Amino acid sequence: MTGAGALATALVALAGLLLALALVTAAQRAHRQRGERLRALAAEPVRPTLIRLVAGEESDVPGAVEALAGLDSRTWAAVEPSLEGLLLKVKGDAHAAVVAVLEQRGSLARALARTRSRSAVARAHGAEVLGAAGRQAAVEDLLRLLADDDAEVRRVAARALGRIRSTAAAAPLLEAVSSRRPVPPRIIASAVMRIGVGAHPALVATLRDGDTLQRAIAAEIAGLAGATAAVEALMDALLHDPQVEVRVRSARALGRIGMPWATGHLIAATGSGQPLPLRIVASRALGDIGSSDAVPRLSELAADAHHRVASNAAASLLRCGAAGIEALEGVAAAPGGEHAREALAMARLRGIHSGTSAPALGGSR
Amino acid sequence: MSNGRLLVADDDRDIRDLVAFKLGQAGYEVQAVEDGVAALDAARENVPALVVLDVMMPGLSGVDVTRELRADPRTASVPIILLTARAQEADVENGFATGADDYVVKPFSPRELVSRVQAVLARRGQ
Repeated sequence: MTGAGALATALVALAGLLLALALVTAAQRAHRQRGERLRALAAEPVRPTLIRLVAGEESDVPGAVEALAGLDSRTWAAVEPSLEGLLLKVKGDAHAAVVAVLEQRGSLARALARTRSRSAVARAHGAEVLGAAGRQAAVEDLLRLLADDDAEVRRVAARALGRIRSTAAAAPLLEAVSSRRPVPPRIIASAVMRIGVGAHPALVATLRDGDTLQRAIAAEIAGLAGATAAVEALMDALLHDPQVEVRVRSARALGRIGMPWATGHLIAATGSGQPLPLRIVASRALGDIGSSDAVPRLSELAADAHHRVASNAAASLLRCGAAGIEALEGVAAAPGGEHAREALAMARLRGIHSGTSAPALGGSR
Repeated sequence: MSNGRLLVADDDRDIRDLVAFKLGQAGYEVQAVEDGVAALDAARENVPALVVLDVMMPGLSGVDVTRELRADPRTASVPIILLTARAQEADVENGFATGADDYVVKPFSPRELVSRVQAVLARRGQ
């Protein structure tokens, strides 16, 4: 066979292969669409019952539960995905009614069994349903999935634990950020915040005993969650943690929480011997708290040699009430007060401050 | 002019049917549509007393529809409630900035949604 002949044969074979692949894909799609149509057709007569169930009127719910619990298996298979989907869309009585039906039909027991499936998709689906149903009894199984081989299963399990709001899950969730098979910090943060106040003791414990990443994430979550129970641990981490990253996040968290008694620690964190990233964040956090006790130190910092420290301190003075604004005007009038002048000009533009001693910007008042 | 009819737009059939059923049960006449374009057409054809819009819809989002309705003198004063899974503060602010009257976050309680609708209509004196 010539070279050209071999090439032609190869091209024909390739074209045949591509055609076969396209046909298989089309057949699979058609099969799936047909299945979906059949399921929708089977579910259609039951939809009014399903909607009555979720609408949650006391007079309708028992009858709807009974009707759905008594469906034949083919119709139930068509309705079950809708009910599982509704778990994430409704709350209150409507959610409780859906859980009751899924419980009666054995869907939740099957979801629990699926967490041990060999298929990652099935494990993730099981975790998703259990979390959406708020299934406390599934916490142990979901904690097991936090160390699953599959990253998506771990993420779904973390979200499910957050939805269940089990306080027992808070510490393992925080550990999962740096485990051998980690879960992304933003997913952990979201899950722990869903748990709420019940997670605060775990945040404190992690701030004290976790590894570097765990401590940093615990500090961040404590700030976002406004965890006042963590203020002492955050103040301790702010000044004594061996890692700058943890100290920086602790400073930011203390600002967000806003407890005035953290002011002294934050002032200490702005000291000239402290790491620059910490001084920058602490000077801003002092403004978040807004205590007049911070005014003398912020006045010094507003003329700091590093522009970001000075800029943050000047902006913070604006948030410390009349004493802060008066001090800022004093800094603005002195040599080296350009950041203070800028802060006053910006405040005037935003309509926060209309004092007369600040320099005009472009002639406008 | 308002005719006492409520308009519901959500691309999720379960939610659309649920909201329509619940509002119907509360005594309102409800028209339910499945996307933003249909919502806009329906509102312009027959101005509703109130609109419930899902934020995340294909084509025109609930926020886009709100903006369009507010820009049209005939529909500018129609009360609007946004329904969304997005609970971020920025999204809530964005919804209000475009002129929505209230904001309900999924998962939601159908009963609470009806209360919100009643409250918004009462505020508008309808």
